Amino acid sequence: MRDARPSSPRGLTDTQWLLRGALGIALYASLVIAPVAFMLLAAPPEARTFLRELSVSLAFAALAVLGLQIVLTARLKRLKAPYGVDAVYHFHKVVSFVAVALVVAHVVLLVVDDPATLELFNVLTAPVRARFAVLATVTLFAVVALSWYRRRIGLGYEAWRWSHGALALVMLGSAVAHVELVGYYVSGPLKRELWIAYVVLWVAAIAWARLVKPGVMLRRPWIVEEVRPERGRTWTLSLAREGAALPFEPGQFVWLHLGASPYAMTEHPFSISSSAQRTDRVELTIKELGDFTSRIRSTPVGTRAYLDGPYGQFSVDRHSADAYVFIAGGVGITPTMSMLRTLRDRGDRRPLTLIYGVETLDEMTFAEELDGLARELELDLVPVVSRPPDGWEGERGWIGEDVLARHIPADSAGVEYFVCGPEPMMVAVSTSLGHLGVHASQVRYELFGLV
Amino acid sequence: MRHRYGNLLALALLVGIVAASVAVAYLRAG
Repeated sequence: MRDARPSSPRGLTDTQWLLRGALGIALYASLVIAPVAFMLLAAPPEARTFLRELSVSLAFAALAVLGLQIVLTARLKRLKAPYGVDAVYHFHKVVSFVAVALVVAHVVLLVVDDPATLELFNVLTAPVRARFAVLATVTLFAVVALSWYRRRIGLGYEAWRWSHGALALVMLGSAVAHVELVGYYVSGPLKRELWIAYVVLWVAAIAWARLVKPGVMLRRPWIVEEVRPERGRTWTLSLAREGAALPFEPGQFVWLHLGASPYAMTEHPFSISSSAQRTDRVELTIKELGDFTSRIRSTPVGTRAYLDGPYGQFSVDRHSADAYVFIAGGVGITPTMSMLRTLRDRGDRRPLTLIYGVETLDEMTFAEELDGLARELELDLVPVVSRPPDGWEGERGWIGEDVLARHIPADSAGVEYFVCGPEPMMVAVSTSLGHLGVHASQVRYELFGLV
Repeated sequence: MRHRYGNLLALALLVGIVAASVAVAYLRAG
């Protein structure tokens, strides 16, 4: 009777989460299909050729998808809760390719239908409506290409965030201008209202994420109290509240604005590593991986910070069980650390296993504290070291099926698995757990490197 | 993994959009 057991402090059962998730997907799909269906409604304009109608229909769906991209990333906690934020961001990424495919199809079908359409690509002679179409298409390609190749072309995260937002706005604005100037399908009743409603939804989502939420954050500042070095080029940023406390579930993450206004687009997502039993002091443990994370070590004590969150469903509080197995790779230990510290503070006596993959023992973040936690909790700590020292008798190499088989409970009933680390590790662990008879519904994932 | 569900969902969306668009274009031009 797993479903009858509340799996979160909000009292939602697994079935209720599933229903909420299904409802969200149905709503999303309806919003994408609505403009297509509206082409048939309320005194549609005179029909044109099949290819032209198909082309226009695909483009309307593409515009609906692209507008909803704003809503997907607008930090709407309740909307994302059933899926997990990383899954929503992943969908945001893949669905952008769907939109590109639809836009390409739109253009190709128009040209096939009437080759004279090609003349509209000459922006020097084309009418304004076509110029907007070209601008929307070019900016769409630019948004997708910059996101895809960001790391390869060495574009910094903050510069990318700015360009992503600005190009997306130009793209949506040009697309709406194109639709309005063509005017064929927005002249009738209901249809113009539909697109006005969509634009209002986009603007509301932007206003929520960029004005309302930062306004709330501004009233709840945090102060950097300590910047503590950890093993493995990793730093713990300890923040004390100046405003309201931050109640969170262990394993969740926040968007951190450090030394900048919450209105500036400089935030980065990090898992909370401290115990959820203390809400007036929050610790984030950050590995030096990129331009921002490499500056963490030199953050002066007293720097002001703002936290947007908490987000995520990667938490023991969301998934009740008789026993837990945590599988962490590298700095993927941080959400697990928060869960272990919280379970210790709550005096939890359930059996726990931590399988922790690290390069070397020297780089094993939290090594000493984990030894202590192994004594305080019913915790079986299994370090898996890829480059172990001489004489190492523990597990070595990667977290493979053999390692998992030796350490996970023989009977998986009532056990929940939490896996956090780099993507290749998570894919491998996911496959191995499946081979070992662990059902996919018992495994939770958190991917770091969200954006 | 959940990300596979995201990929499947995007694919299903694409198929749904194309099917709906073909149906609408057929009804309109038919």
